[in-house]
Amino acid sequence: MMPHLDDQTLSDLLDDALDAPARSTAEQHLASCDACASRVQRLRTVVAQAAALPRTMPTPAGEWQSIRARIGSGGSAVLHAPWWTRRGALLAAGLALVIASSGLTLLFVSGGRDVAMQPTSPAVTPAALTPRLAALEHEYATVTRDLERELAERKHTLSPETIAAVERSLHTIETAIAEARDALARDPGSETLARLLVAGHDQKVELLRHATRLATQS
Amino acid sequence: MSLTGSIVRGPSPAVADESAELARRAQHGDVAAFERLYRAHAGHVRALCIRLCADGQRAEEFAQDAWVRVWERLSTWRGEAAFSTWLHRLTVNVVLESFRAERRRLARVTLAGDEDDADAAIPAPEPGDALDLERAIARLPRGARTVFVLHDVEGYRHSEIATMTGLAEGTLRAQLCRARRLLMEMLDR
Ligand SMILES: [Zn+2]
Repeated sequence: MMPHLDDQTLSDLLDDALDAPARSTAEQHLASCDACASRVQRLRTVVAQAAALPRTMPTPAGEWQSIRARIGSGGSAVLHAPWWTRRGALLAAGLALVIASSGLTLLFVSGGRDVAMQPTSPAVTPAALTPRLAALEHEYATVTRDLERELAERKHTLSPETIAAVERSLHTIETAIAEARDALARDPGSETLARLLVAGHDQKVELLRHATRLATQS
Repeated sequence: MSLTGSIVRGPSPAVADESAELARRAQHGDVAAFERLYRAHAGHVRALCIRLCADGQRAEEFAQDAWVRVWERLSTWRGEAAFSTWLHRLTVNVVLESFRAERRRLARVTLAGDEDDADAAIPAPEPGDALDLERAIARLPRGARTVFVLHDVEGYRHSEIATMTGLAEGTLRAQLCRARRLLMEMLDR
């Protein structure tokens, strides 16, 4: 029996970074070795999960204001009151939940100082998480309602195909949100589910925002 | 669900066109256009910063620095690349430059100039503590994390990452392999 394939070979195989002879040797081995085949499959899963991570994360409240202050007076920023400033204001007044790289981080805004609490903190217990999530969901509902109203007003400028596509996408996202919420009701302590729920809401806001923008343009 | 994908995740051609138009207006000092660019792309810049540095506080600084630099260097965007491509490159550069500066500072006080010296201590996971991928990525050593985020999350090619990081392709592939193996172990626990 040939020695097992090392991780570097398996990793390179996934990236198509092996030369032809090395690749064919590796593939032959994989065809006859369950251990290596299973290891490459697990690596492949990691790679696939990474590719499926959300491309965007919620930005901290007030970020634009800080940037705006730093770029100086390059012109006059037109202040229309779009949903996001509303959202920003509401978040700043209450609480924001951000998905940090270290998992779920609860960001408390108190007395103008942001205090980020790491998920390992004993204060972030499942019992404490739930009311915050509920508050956040309420917040998302407000934002979404505003966007949906805005979109409804401009819907006539979109093609029927676009409207259908948006509606299909909305349905998919809403199903995902409902599923995450149901699962969370059964397992209220799950950070992964909380994260999924928030990601679902973000996707919905993102979709509505794009659709509204498309409608504004046409 | 390709439709969902194209609308929700990818920059659709319409969004890319809109960004290009906004970027051209911002090049002429239109702050309102720049704000709309920010609104359209801030979430991705945030994700990039936070995944690369694994620190919410620093990610906030990096994102702001990136946007300020975008504003300052907008005139160098010529429209050959999509605005988002240019923006993401610039963001990665802001973060990596800071890492390099940090390594130089560390190299002055320590003799070992190891790639991962600048990493904060990686807390050992609790026994049986299954990690989600996002948290597991944050626990990777910096060198491995950088390459993993750029390649497997953001989809840059080996050659592009070599240019951005200055790493030889062999080193880069070794870091990528290391990241994937560590993640596999953390997620399998
Ligand atoms: Zn084998």
